[in-house]
Amino acid sequence: MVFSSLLFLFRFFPAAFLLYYLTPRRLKNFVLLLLSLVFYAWGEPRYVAIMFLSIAIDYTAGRGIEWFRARGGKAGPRLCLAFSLCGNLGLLAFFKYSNFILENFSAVTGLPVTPLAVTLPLGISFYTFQTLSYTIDVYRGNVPAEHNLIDFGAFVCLFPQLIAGPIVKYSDINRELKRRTLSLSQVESGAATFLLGLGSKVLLANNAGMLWDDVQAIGFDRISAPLAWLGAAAFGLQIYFDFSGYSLMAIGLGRMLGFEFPQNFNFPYTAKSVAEFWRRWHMTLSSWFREYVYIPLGGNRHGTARTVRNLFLVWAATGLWHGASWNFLFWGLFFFVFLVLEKWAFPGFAEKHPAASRLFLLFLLLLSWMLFAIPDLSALASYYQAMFSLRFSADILYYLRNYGAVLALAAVFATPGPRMLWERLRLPGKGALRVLGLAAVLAASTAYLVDATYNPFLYFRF
Amino acid sequence: MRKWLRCPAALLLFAFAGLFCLWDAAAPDRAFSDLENRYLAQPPDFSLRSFLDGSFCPDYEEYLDDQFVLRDSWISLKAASETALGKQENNGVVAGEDGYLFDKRLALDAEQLEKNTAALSAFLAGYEGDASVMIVPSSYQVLQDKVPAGLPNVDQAAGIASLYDSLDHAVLIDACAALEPHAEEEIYYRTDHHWTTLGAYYGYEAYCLARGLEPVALESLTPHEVPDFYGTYYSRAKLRSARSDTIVYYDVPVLSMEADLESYPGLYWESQWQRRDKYAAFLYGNHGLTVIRSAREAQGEPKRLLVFKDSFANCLAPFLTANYDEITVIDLRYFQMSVQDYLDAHSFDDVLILYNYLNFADDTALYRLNR
Repeated sequence: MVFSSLLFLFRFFPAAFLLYYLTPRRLKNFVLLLLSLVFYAWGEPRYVAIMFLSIAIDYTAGRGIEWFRARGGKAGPRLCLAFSLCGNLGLLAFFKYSNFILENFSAVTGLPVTPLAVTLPLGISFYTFQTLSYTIDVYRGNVPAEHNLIDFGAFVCLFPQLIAGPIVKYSDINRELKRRTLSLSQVESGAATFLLGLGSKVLLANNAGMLWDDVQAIGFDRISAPLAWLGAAAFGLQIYFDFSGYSLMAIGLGRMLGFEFPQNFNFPYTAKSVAEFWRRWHMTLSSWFREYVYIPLGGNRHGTARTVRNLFLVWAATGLWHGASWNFLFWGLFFFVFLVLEKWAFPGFAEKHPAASRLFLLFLLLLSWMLFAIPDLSALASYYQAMFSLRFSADILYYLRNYGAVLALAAVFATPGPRMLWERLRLPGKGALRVLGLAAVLAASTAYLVDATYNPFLYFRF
Repeated sequence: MRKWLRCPAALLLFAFAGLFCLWDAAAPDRAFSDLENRYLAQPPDFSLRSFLDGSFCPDYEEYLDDQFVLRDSWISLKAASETALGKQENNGVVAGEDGYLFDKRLALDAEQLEKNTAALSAFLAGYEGDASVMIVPSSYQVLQDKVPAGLPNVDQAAGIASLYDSLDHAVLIDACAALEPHAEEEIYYRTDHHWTTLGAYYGYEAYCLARGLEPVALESLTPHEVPDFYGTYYSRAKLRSARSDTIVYYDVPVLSMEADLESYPGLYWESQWQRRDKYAAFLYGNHGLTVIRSAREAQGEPKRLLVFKDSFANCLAPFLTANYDEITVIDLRYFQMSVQDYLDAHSFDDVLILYNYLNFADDTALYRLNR
């Protein structure tokens, strides 16, 4: 189930929250677990088993680490950690990467290989990372092992962040799992956040995405150079509002349940450098990789060569996390290259020339998004060719006329401008205006969902 | 209550979702949507098996979407919002000048088009004598002045030309050339994807010219007008501001018309003129096999024509009764017999293949020509 659907908004949401609010406190986690399972099982019930497997692996590993540690010795906890790593990464490797590996094995060796009939279980990239963070944190002694299987299950399955993040670490919400208070102001802020996320997704992302779909339909050898750039910009805005909108909806719903999830996006398109962009884009993923991969590898504390190697590994992994194909690997390494250049070839450039740096970053990001969006490398080459060609035609006129307003609106909302303006605004009846605005977003989103011909989720299959 | 008033966003969200949930659940299901001109999804049967194999859920969501309370109003709200954002398009239909709606077709399924071209080419090679082929462009191709600037639609004139280039043993009728001089006349509907009866007449004229026949003069026929026609483009774009079309049809008496073995009193389904889908009045909609016996005076040996067609031919066929004694119309999408057996069992003086270019490119039944 996805949040931006009539099914969620007008069936699951009212029923689930009514039930949750009426449930006495000591049963709330149990009800939450059940609701989350219904949410997850809708449409693809068989993959619930894989999630149960992941829960079982990490619950056992956590308890095991605690048990061995109480009896002294290092081998026991290590074994448990290895068990969890192998289990989770094994699930991920099997369901997400096996066909990619097989295909390339066959391409290199020339041996015929039949692809496995596996489809990616919903949200597996997200929940395996969440459960891994738990076991690693228990191993490091940062958090105590969870004894209550229902609480642990509720953490893993928690429906707001289950299928598309943010990647919530166990240590982010372990206290709230045990004891959380729910104030009206929290519910209020959660509802507003949810509505903003819904609008981002349904009104901005979907509409920007329609332009990108058209560009793909027209064909990369037929589009004019200006339309190629507009198409890349549309995709950049689509993926931002799609994903940040989903995160906002998750954060809002979490807050309405009494959980505070970490922020996932902080106006990434206003960054001045690639490094800053990644501190603002999918923040929970970058911090996960920093905390559980980059720093354990030694980070930047062992000289330049080791640092470059570590960066390379982290960015290759980040790329592959987004999908099992070469273009995602290249996409990750694209950022690796520019991070290295920023750090060692042009240190301090961004601070000295903020405006030029911002523009250059946007240019890089548009190139990177096409690398992300077009898995077929020869099609990608023809897209870049279109971007840097001198092909002009009237197609741009049509798309500016039809999508100019939506893209401009989206571009404005991708900056902190509207929010700052709103906060500075002094005006009587501001509260009423806010509610009217949110009501308009809700009504318009419902209208677009009812007459939906286009409503994909880009991060849905990651 | 005062406490809740301090939480207006939460109140808004819960009240909106809760009330519409209850209202939607209580509202009766509709069978048909006049606005969209289609049947709406009905509640799927729940079974544990259909739930577990994943087939229940998408059906249920489709049902929920189709039957959502105030559906038509939500659709209109979306259309209004699209217009407010400066969009000329909604759901793949583009609004042009003068109240015209057009198809937005950025690409064709190249594979299907190739298959269909090959099927037609094989049929023509196998047919003794020269069949006629008329591929009709859609409105955006002919009424280019009315199409929004820069819309990168598929070039149908070029597409038809390249299709014709690959066909042998056929009389190829250039419908583009026949229609273009009349671009200022009412040759296409504003709200529907078909050509008008007048557009079809120009196509008929071109056919007669190519075949050396004498076309019936339009002035010699008695016209009738049916106003308030809202066609398929309207159903997709759902712009309430759209202007309705007027359908014109001419009195054409026939001896008999038989469609799929049932007899009809004439060429037009009189009661359908009053319904929403008025174009379906021509030849009583699409049937696999229709046989028309014309009322024209006998002139020696009866002349017989066979037409393979899509719905574009339905409003053209009446004119052909002036030139043929018997017209057999086959719509391959609904024709269950073997075409080759049928050809062996019946004899025809002429064969006409008449399709709209987009329909020809998209059609998945053309392979039946050679079956």
